[in-house]
Amino acid sequence: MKVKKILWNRRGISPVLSSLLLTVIAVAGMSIAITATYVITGNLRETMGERFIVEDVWFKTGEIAIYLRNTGRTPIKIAAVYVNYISESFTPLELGLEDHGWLNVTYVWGSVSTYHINIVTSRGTQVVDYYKSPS
Amino acid sequence: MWTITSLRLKKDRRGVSNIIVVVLSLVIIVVIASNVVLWSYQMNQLDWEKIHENIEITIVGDTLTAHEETTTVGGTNYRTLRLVGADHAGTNFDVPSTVGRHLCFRVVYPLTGISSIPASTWTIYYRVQRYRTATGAVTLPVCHADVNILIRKSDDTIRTTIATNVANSPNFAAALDVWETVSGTYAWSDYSVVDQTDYLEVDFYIQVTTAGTRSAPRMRIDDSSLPVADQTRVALSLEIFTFKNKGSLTSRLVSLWVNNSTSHKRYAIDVIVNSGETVSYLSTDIRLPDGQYMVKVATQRGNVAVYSGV
Repeated sequence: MKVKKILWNRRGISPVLSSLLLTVIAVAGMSIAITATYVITGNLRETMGERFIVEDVWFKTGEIAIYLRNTGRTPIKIAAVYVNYISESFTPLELGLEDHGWLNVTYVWGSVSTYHINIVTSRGTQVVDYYKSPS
Repeated sequence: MWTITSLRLKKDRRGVSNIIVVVLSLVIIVVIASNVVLWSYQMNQLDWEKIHENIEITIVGDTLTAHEETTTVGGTNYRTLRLVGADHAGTNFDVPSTVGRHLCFRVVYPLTGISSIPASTWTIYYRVQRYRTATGAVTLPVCHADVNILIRKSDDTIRTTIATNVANSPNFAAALDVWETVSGTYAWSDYSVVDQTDYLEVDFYIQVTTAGTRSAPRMRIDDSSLPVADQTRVALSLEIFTFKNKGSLTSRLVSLWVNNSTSHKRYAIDVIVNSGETVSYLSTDIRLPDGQYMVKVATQRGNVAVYSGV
């Protein structure tokens, strides 16, 4: 009896449908907004949480070996190395939390010379310093 | 008033939805901002801690040299073992030429900051001489040098005697009035320090097995004119690294580097140094190279302390 009443009363169905539709749209909108918030803050956090140090620099034949340690709160990936402001090739290096390892930069260096070395991560964090080669 | 506002809100549904949208947007903005601020605060704290960390390598060495400076333990004066070479004009310790085991001197080394002394082979070097005591015909005494090793408490009582009459040198062989350096070895077993206010004590003896005539033996310490190889000393087959935390925060040391011109070697360590504390790290795995070298230690926060040695 009630079902028949609802079926006959078409004016009553459209507000229910519209309400349902609006709820779905609102939920979807909120989900998108929350996901976007998560992504934005996540990226910001990763960028802000990046820290690494140079523990050692070793001038070897035909290369400069740089020992890096990740001291930050997020994994890092070395994206570029500049020696005297010129990009040089290097062995790929990714360091997890508290991880450490050698970054081998192919470079023919001269004895007793000062080199400006800039190490850049994929998120743009840089560690820059001058290093003097041995005699 | 409340009734009027409620009625107005019920009528103006567009207004309600606007408020909901604004409130939700505000919630999202607040979430983003608080996340960023909170993370920024945490990372700033990390950086602040790194800036305030101050660690120093005070001394590195593998040889304890006998020095004439005294260390007072519970009211008794002892000579001192130090990780640096001789730095005085030298002091002789004459003993009688009669048959018997004669004490030359006792030296101590504080065990402050040392949790254990690992097993290793110690080589003890003695700078000795058989000298003329009177004019006339001389018969040289037959003698050798050796040591007792023990742990002494800060109240001057003995905690434990590690070894007696060990690291025996060969008999002295040099001619009358000629100095020589003799040595003996001792296999040190692993020792866990009971109390870091204790001292490691080494008592140096000369044992005369055949008495001489108009000649007696003696031992010399702290003579800076001698090369290191000829100084009275205890060469440990382990390295001692002493770290001092001059900062206001506890530091955790995670890596130690020993570099020279041909090698850069990294050792993973785990040493905690409290604020204002000095800690000695003993290792049988790490060996210092000959010649000029550099020791570096890195903290977990990312600071590096450097020590240069020869």
